[in-house]
Amino acid sequence: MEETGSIKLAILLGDSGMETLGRGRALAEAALAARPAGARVAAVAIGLPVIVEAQWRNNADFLRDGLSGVVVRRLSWQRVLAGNARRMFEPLGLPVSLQGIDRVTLPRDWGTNFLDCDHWMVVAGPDIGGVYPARPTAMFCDGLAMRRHPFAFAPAINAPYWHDQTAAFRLWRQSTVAVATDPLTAGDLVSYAGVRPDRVMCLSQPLDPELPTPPAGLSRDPGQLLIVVEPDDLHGTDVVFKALRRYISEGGALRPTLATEGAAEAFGKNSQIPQVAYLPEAARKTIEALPIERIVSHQRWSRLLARAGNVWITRRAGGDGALMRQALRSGARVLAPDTPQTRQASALAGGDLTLIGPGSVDDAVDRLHAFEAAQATPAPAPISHHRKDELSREIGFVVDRLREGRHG
Amino acid sequence: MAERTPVGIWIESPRGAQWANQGMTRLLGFIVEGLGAAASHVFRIVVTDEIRDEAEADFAELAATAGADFTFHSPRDAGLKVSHFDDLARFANAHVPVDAWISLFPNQTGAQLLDAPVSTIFPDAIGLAYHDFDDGSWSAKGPPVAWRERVRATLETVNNVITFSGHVARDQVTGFFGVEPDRIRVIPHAPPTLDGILPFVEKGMRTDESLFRAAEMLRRHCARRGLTYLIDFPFEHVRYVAVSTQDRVTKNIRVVVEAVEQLVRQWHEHFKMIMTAQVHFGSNWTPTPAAIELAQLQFDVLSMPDLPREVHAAFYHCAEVTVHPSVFEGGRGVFPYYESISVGTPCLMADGPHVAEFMADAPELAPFVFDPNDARQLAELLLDTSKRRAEVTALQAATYGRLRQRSWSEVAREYVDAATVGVRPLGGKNRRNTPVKNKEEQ
Repeated sequence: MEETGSIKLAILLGDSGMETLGRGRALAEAALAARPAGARVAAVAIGLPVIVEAQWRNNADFLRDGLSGVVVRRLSWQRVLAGNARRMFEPLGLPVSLQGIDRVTLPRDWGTNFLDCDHWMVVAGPDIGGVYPARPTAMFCDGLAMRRHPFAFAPAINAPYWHDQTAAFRLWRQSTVAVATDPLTAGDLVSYAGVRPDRVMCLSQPLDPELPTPPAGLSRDPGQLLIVVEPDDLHGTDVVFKALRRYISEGGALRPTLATEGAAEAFGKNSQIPQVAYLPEAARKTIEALPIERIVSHQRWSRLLARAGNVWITRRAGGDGALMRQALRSGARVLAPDTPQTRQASALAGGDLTLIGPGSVDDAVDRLHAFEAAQATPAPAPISHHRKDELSREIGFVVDRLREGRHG
Repeated sequence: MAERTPVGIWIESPRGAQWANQGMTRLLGFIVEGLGAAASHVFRIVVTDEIRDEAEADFAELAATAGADFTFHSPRDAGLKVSHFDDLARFANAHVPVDAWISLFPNQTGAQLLDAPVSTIFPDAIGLAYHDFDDGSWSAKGPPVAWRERVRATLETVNNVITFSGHVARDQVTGFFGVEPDRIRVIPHAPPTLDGILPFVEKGMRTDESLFRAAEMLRRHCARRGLTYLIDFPFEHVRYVAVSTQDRVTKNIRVVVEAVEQLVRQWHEHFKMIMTAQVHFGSNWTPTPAAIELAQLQFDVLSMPDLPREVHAAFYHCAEVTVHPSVFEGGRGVFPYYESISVGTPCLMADGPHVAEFMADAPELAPFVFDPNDARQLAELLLDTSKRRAEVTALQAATYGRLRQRSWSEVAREYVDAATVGVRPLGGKNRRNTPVKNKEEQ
């Protein structure tokens, strides 16, 4: 007869950005519905980093809304000396190699520090450093964009970021399993992070949350172009803004609006961010004049998507394409960089997608005009959500792996 | 049993130099081993006292018999202390009777003072052909200028000049120094092999077991050397390009860096490059470190220097493909090709005079030659070779099987012939010119 047991799971988020929150919510939902062999997930403790208290409360509401068995705790990722961590967890007798690592990262909640949970699922990039796997741990990785766009993460090879990355990778290798949601990232986990292939799982379904239903009565504006962009190299701002300037000067009819998670001032005339400040004068003035929407919550994002006829997703790498899939599912027409991850994401979401070759202003301008010309055709209908049952089944497999890797 | 003919080996090791089992001392080891089978000659190797013990310890590891195949000699044998190579030559003339000498390098000016006939090995003249633009290099007394002067002088007292390839004979010995072709002996090396170094690799075949064991050797090495990122690295599961070379002016490692950048960043392929060259960030005598630094490729372009012999073999064995990007080698052919394919990994090679000469022996390898300045072509070739790895390996292994027929016994025979047949004493007490001093002497 199979062993039965109830599992208490920790889902530890590396940051409180929109995509991470979405992944955390989807993961919690899938975990609660999962049916791992001989067990059930009875409780989920989500660790959510605190930036601003009010924002933390809103985000916590989003994470637990409608889910019984979920609690959200304030989380602080803390670096401790590697030797100290070894002594803290000496009773566990874990065969963890810390050679060459100065500090490891531990989740702190000012209580049990998530040691009351049976397993940890960490939704974070390598920027938080090497998480000591004091519980059987699954590392959920949404992409290793730093492999292809290093300058979006660090200014030079001796930047502290790379030390953190090395520590992170060393400990990912020693975690029970590393989980990707696209084949490119799964390959990067082996080739770049150095995780053994038998410890890598690639989910067939993305960790997309169900977006809140937008208020009734919002109408879609076919002339609006919502540009989802952050002022950094990862979003190719140089190409995006130069192309936008050209498109407008050539009489482009779509009306751009910027949508950003960051501060609107980053795109304003006093911006000190190099990717904006050093744009050609004409491009800069164009950007300064554009309306800006802040993506501060999933509710807000849902409303923006309900109104936008067209969405330009500019992120060139990393992230698993959740924003793009959500835009496609909303029924908007979508422009996005042509990358393996984008292609994979679009295959999962369907919808009306136009791909832009990364790096070329000319190509981007041509695509914008062609995109505009296609407005005569009917907009696609919204698409129903992805297969949540399949995702739950796969998360069940992850939990199985964690149970096989449990300590003691 | 007939008495063996003594042939002297003349080595000028500057103070502080290491014997190091590589380069010319490694070559000498191969020749000594090759000499053993015929039992017709004995090498009498003259070195400084300073390097004597290290050299003897190294040669004790050879498949050759000390005292029979070779002997070591240094001034301490005669209770002497010498401080110049001139004195070392006087010691050799007095205490090391030989029929003829082989000087290891053409710039060893002490060889001018040896009484018996001298022939010299001339590996290459890279410094004259591939210019260093550093201010000091080509000043009136800069290193290549002084080297040229010394070589010019020593060649006057030398009988035969031994090169490893026809292109060095033609382009450098004759081209730079005007030596008549009939004084040049082209003696190519026997193909090197790593066969037998990894006991778990049979006939170059890769298996899951052999890959795992080789990868374990690499992981242990990285742990010992504190290469933090590579500790626990799954070498056996990751496609990487092996580049086994020092980083020098002709080595052209940068093209591989750029090809890997193309593969990873533009084509989203999973590839890495691991080289044995030490990377000196901030150097201006090589473009390789800057290429890595400017692209922040330090996690996809890695260095594993100073690999012990068996770890070096494991390094090749786990690689997806080997690349030798050098634009020039003094030898005939590409040594990393032989080493790599002997443990089951195919090799791509940059075009250059050494490869052009090699293609005469192995035209079927032409599809694996790339333009040394074309990173994109190399990237495409890497991808294609990776896709057809088994097929390419089989083809290159067949060539290797054919070419490796040449043995070190044959090479050793050719060396002693070059040193002893038809030679006459031109230096030492027979010299007609004033010897040039070697400023690097003891």
